[in-house]
This record gives sequence, structure tokens and C-alpha cells, in this order.
Amino acid sequence: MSTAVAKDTTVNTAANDLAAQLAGKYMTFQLAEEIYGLEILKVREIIGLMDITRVPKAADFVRGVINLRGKVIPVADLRLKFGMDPCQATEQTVIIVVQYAVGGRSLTMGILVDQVLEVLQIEPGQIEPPPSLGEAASEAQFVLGVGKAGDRVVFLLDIGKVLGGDASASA
Amino acid sequence: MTVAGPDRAAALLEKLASAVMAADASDGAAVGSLVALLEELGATGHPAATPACGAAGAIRAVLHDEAKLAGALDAASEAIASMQEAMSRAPAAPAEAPILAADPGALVLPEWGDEKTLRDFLAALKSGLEELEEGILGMEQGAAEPRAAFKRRLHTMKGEAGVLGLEDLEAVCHATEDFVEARGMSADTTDRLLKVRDWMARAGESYARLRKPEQRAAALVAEVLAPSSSPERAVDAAAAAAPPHPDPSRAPAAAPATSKVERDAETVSLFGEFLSESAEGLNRVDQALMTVESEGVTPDTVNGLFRVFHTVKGTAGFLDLDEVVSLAHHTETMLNKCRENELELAGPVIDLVFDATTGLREMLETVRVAIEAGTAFPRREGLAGLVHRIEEATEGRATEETPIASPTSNPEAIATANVNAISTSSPNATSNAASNATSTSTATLTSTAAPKPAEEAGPVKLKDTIKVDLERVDSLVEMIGELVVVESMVVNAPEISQASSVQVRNCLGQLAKVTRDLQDVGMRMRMVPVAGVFQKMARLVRDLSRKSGKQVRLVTSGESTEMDRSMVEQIADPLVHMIRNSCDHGLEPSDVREKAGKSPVGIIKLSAYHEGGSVVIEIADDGRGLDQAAIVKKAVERGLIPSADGMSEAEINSLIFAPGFSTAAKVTEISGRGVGMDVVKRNIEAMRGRVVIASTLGKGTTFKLVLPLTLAIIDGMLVACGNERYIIPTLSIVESIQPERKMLVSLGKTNEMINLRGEILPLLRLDRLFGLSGAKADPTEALVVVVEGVGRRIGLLVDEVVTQQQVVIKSLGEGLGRTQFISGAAILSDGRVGLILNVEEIAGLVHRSREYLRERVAQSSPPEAAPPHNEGARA
Repeated sequence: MSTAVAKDTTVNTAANDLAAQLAGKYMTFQLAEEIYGLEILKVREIIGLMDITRVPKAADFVRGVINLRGKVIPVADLRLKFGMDPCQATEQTVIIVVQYAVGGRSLTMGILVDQVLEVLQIEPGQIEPPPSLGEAASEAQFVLGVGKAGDRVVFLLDIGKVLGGDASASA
Repeated sequence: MTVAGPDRAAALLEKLASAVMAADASDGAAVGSLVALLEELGATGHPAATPACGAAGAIRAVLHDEAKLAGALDAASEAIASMQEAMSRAPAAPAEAPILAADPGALVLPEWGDEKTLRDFLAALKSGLEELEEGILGMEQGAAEPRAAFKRRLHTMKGEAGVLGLEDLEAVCHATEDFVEARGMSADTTDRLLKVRDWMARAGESYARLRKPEQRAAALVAEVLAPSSSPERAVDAAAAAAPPHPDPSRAPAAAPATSKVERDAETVSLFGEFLSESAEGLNRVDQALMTVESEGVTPDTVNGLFRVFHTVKGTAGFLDLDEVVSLAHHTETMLNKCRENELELAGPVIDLVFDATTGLREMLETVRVAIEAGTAFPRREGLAGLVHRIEEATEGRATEETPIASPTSNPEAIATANVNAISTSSPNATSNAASNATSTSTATLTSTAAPKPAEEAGPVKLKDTIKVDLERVDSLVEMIGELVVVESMVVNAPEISQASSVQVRNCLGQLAKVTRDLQDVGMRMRMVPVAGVFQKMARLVRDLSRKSGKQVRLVTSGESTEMDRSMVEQIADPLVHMIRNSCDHGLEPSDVREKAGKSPVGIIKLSAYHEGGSVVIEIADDGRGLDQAAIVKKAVERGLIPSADGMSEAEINSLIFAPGFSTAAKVTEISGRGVGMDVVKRNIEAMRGRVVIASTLGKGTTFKLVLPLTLAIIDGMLVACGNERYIIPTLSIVESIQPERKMLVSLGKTNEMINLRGEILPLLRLDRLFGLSGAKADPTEALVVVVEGVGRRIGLLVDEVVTQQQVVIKSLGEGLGRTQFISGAAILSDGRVGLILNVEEIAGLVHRSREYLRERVAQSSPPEAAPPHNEGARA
């Protein structure tokens, strides 16, 4: 009896730690029907859709490169990364410019999303550990945790893992 | 020595003062009488008259050069003025007694020093003291910035005081540094620091009267600073007052961890400057020695050599690099003999100086490594041998000189050298320093030499320069690049180009011009002449010539040709390989040359020039030339090529670039050509340049390195293919043509080729390679751009050539990882990103598939169609 309680506490502590770590402001955006969140500190800016120059022989999910005020940055289509149909340009389509670090290097990249929603403050109590979906669900590894905002579910993305790992692997 | 009263000296001085006014650089007689007067004055032995000898010597040394003579005269008149002042100040000083003994309180400036420098310093000291006070008060409030500023100020002051030989001030600064580091802030500390500040103010006043401070450093330190947490260090510092021995490298190590970083950064930057300056100096030494060997000795060159070693010694002493000091010092002593014509600067002596520069370079490199790694400086093995050899050479014909005491253990030597080097010391003054250093510390009699003419010997045009952080330059250049793009976007915007107003169009024209000029300036900011690298090569040739026993002469031209700084650095390595090759293998031994009717002295010409938009560096030897038959033979043996059929001369020549292509010495006449050539080619190609070989058997070989002006901008041809546009570097484009039907041949369905005036080139459709849609399907309507990469030409089928333009190269962004067939990106005039094709990679692709085909043919299997891009994608 007492052991069971202790165990339960440990699990809870771990979950609480994670939640406390992840709590904070998130930029939320929409891909297809789902809502995703990016740590606000990694978002540099949001720009409207612009001409993207296709890069031949690049990874599939890379749509190409854009000119961000004189700097050339790659743009990734997150829908492709998550196995959905390519992003179709609409009025709401935007590029979120993120800056993140992989292996000590700071990378700047644009990600193409259907629509930007809002900046959400997600409290520790609203965060749950990522669901265990089994080996088959490769997308689950990109998720740091699941936030609940009202009745909505926000997948909190580990953007470094989403973009970093595969881009260099595909090189 | 004539013992004469001060009266005589004073009378002489008066005469001198009028003589120096009358003397004009162009008036030989006046100068002659001036020198005579000066010497007479020097001979009086009056203590204040010592500068006279120096001034006389300086004028004598530059008699032949009018420009410098004028400088020497100016210096002499200053010296006379200071002598007059000195005499009027202490007319009663007994003539025979050394100054120090006569008046212990008098301030003795180091022999290079003049009052003006001191006054300047004192003026700066006043404002510095205000800053210090501000810092002290700020520190009490516990703020970090005033504390840092205070320490910086103090450190600078210490250094300057050290330079000027203001021992007391220096010692106090040093002790205060220690004190501040050892103690936290409190009201007590502030009080003490303020006391120090007040002392400094008083000391400044004393110094202004050319007196030492009434309260000596040791006393002050003991009274104010000693009860700090490290009394023994304060004593140490006070003791340092006797031989001034600033020690920035040791101080931070002993300092508490909190302040260590900042001090360290300062020390590191000191070292950085020292290292780069010394390296430059050593390069000058190499060059000067080379001149001496070819054109003989002139006093100017010897002086120049001397100065370099002296400066190195001085700064190294300041930085506590004992071994460097030792070597530089001994070399300097030897050179001093040469200057005094006691030793001939030739043969073995030159070799020794060369060895010394090599030794110094190596030591400096160790220092650099140690600094970067943050470790202590390792002791150097084998140095004693070299020092000993130099000593022997120096002693060899030296009779009157006392044996050299180890200068490294002699703080006087270091101190003297130190103060001398930091000021722009004159040759004569430094010679005094050198002899001082060699004798014991009592030898201070010669310590007030005259200030000398500016040290720039000869008609050197010294431009005013400032040191700028490279990062700033880079960001400026980058921004200019962006400006160029924005400018062309504005000019080409349809709304604007439709504007019919003449005024607007004029303005736009002006804008375009200014932007272009700005771009030029920006590019030139990073440009440096190749002279530095060429100097290194001169040295290399000399060494190689010695080693191989061949007589080789290096002829350089176009040293002032400028290249991007980073390229100049990168070019050095390939050049070393190529020069080595030319010496070792290109040039024949003298006897062989004579038999062939050539001059026994082999000549290597190293030249740099602009050609089109590129910089060309040419290495030409007049040796045996490349033996193509031998190259082909070797290449076939090694299986590099099946046969030489269909290979052009250039293609055969470029076989020597194949990795490891080296033929045994005796078997062929091209022995070893190709060692390191692989490296050369790689390095040059990494700089987006190419190597062209021209060779005539028996006449010599010429390597041409064709390099872009800068790494940041290339000339590109903008081509369209389907809906996309790409940039092909103009450097790799041979020609572009619209093919006729009869020129096109095809093996199977995909292996297309183009028959270009008898040369069959593989034809690659860019749209197929990149999977583009909407490209022209019929080659006769499209355009073939013939490009050359990895020594192979291929035809690249594109829709059309849009324009030719200069583009600023941008990286594609690391997020993409490595991209195939694309070497970078550039912003096009419409603001879109254009990709720059990697022609080498694309050409290599077809090249490989050709080999693949050839193998298939060799195996006599049916020549299947091998889609080129699949092959490449796999490779």
C-alpha cells in the first residue's frame, strides 16, 4: 500500500518537473486541423508568404530558400514533415522564422504553416507528458509535451528535433 | 677625456644653437660645422652633453640622404635645446660625476626619452587621475564598470610609466593593481586609493620638475597599500621599483578569480599585438637579408634589421618571454657589431640571423599556442645552441666587449630594452641600450642619448592606418552587398522605371554610381597586397637553394597586387608547394643547366597581376619543363588513364594534379612533380580559382593560378531553365552556343552529346538533372552553355541566358545541410534568391558516367544507357 503511494508520487514528481520546465509562452499555429506550439523564445518573426526558390536535391520537406532581408534562409514545410499533404498557399499561410541551436550551432530557418493563432501562456498544470504512441508514430518524438488550453490540445514542438535532426541526416 | 668646465660646454651649446638654426639639409658646409661642434661638445664630457655625441653620429649616418638629414637636424636641435635646459638647471653639477651619483633625487629619463614625451605623459596623467578618482568613488558603490575602468586606466598608466622609466609611479601602479584585486571595496579601501591618487598627483608635479617624487614608491606602498591582505606582494612591488619590471602576464595568475578574466583578456590582446607585429618584423628581416645578399650591405638595412630584433626583444621583455628576449638580444648584439663595422654582415652571419628569425618564429608560435590554450610557455630545447653560436660569432672579432652575461637573468637588460622598444627608439639610442644590456647594471653612464631622427629609413611612404575589428569590416561589406541588391531592386522596379521624370532618372543614375563606388570601396577594405606572401617565398627559395645546392634566384613582380585578405592567407600554402616543386624538380642542377646552354642560376619568377576580373599568380621556372611522354607513361602505369588518346596537352599536364601522382626520380625526367600538387589544386579550387599549366620541354614550366578578386563576390551568368533561374560562375564558362540539329548526337535515349567543332562533349539537361518542369524540350531552341570543371568540359542545356551580373555569395543556411550541385545562393535583382551552380560537381557527374561507360565498353558488354544523374546521385 505504502509502496504504491510512493511510486505514484515519484511519477507525479517527474511529470510535475517536466510540466514546470515546459510551462511558459507558446506561439501557436495550425497545420491542417491540429494546433501546435512553439516556444516563444525560439520565434524570431513571422513573415508573409513570399517567393520560395526551390533547391534541387534538398530534403523533401524543404520547400526552398527565401531572401530574408538579404539573408538566405531555408524554409521547411511542416505539413510534409508530419506526413500530410503539402501546404497550399492561402491568405493565411505564413512563414514563422525560428532560431534554434543544434549541436552548439545556431540555425535560422523558416517554417511554413497554415495559419498563426495566438501566443498562449501555458501553466504547468496544463501540461501533460507526450503520449506514448508506440514505435510506429515517428512524429511523437518531435513533441515535448501536450498542452491543454481550454478544450483545445496544443502539441508543444521540439523544433530542433523537427528540423535539425533530419535536415543534416538527409545531407 | 677633456675635463672642461660647464662654462665651456655652455658656450659651445650657445654656438650650437645658432649653428643648428643656420644648418640646412641642403647645406653641406653648415652641417659639417654643426657636426664638428656637436662632437666637440660631446668630448667635453659634461654629463648633460651626452646627447651631443649621439646627435653627431646620427647626422653623420644620414649625411648622404637629404630627406633624412632634415629629420636628423630637427632631432639635433631638440637635443641641443634639452641640453641647454639641463645645463641651466644644474650648472654646478661636477662634470666628472655621473648624474645618478650627483643627485639621487633627479629624474633620469631613459636614453631615448625626451622631455616632450614626458610632458605629454604628464598631461595625460592629469586627466587620467580624474578618471581614477571617478573610478575609485564609483567602486565604493560596488558598481562593476567603474572598477573595470579604474583597473584599465591604472594598467595603462603603469605601462606608460614603465616606458618612460618613471619607476616609482610604475611600482605604485603595480602595487595598487594588486591591492585592488586583493581587496573588496570598503570605505577604508577608498581612503587608501584616494591617498594613492594624491600621491600620484604629487609625483606628477615632481616629474614635471624632472625630480623623483619626494615620497618614494616603497614608502608609499608600505604606508598605504601594505596592510592589505598580501603584504609580501606589496613589498615585491616596491622592490620592483628598483628595476622596473612590469609583469602583466604574472599578475593575473596571482590575482583572485573574479578579476582574472578581464586582466587575461588584456594580456591576451597585448600578446596578440606583439605576435602579429613581431611576425611582420621578421618578414621584413627576411626581405632585408635577401637584399643584402643580392645587393650588398647598406647602413640602412643593418639598422632596419637591428630595429626589428630590438623591438621584438623589448616587447618580449615587457611580456616576460625570457627566451625570446635572449635570442633577440644576442642577435641584436651581433647586428650591432655589424653596424659598427666590426663584423661583416655576410655569409655565416646572415645564416645566423636567418636561423634566429626561424627560431623566433617557432618560439612565437609556441607562445601563440600557449596563449590560446591558456597554458604556461614551455621551455624551448636547442635554443642554447643557437644562442651560443650567435655569441661565438659576435665574440669572434670582438675584443673590447666584456663577456655577455646572460641577459635573461639581468632585469636591467629587459627593462632597458623594454622601455626602448616601446618608444620608437632611434638606432643609436638602441645601440646604447644593447651595450648597456650586455654589461652590468652599473653601466648607466651613456643613458641620455639624443633623440634621433624618425626611424623610418629611406623613402618609405607610411600611410595612416587604423586597426579595425575584422568582424566590423565583414558586416560592413555584407551590408554593402545588401545595399547593392536593394538598389538594383529599386531601380528595376516597374513603377520606378516607368517614371519619366528626368530628375528621378538622374537621381537613380547617381544612386547606382554611388552604390557601385561603395561596393568597390567595401571590397577594397578587405584587400591586402600579396607582398607579404611573396616575401615568405623569397625566404623559402633561399632555404631550398641552400638545401638542394642549386643556384636559384627568385624574381618577383606585382607584389602590390591586392587580394582579399583571407585569400592571401590561403594562397600561401599552395605557393609553398609549387615553389618547392619548381626548385626541387623544375630546375635542373647547375651543371645540367650549363650543358643545356642555360645560365647556371635557375630563375623562378613569381608574379601577380590582374587579368579581367581575376587575380593571377604566376609561378614560372626556366627549368626542364614537363615531359608529357613521361607523364602519360606514368599515368597509364598507375591506371589513371587507359591511354593518352584524345587528351589535350592541358589535360595531360593536369594529370600531375592527380592525388599521389609522383614519378620516381631516376626513371623519368619529371621526378616527383606532382608531390603536393593535389593539395595545390584542391586549395585553389576551394577558393574558386583554377590552375593553368603551360610548359615547354627544356624551357620551363609556368603555373598560373587564376583566382577571383574576393571570396564574397563572383561574376555570374544568370540562366533560366523552366521556371527557375540559376547562376553559373563566369569563371567556369567556356562559351555558350545555340546548337544546330547536326551537332547533337545521342547514345541511347539519355546520353546526349554535342559535337562542338569536332570535340564531343557530354550534354546535360539542367531540367532533367534538377527535375524542373516547363523547360524547352528541343535543344535547338535552347542554349548550350559549355562549362569546364575538374578539367572536363560539358555542355549544359538551359533555356536562355538572362544576364550577366556580379553577385554577392551567400551561404544557403546551415539548416539545409550539404546540398548537391549547388554551391551557394545570391540575391537577384528582383529580390528572389538565385542558386549558384556547382559546376565542378555537375561536370564531375558526367565525367564519372563517361568512365562508367568506358568500363562497360571495355567489358564488351552492350553499351547500356546509363542515366547520368542516377549515377551521380549514387556517387
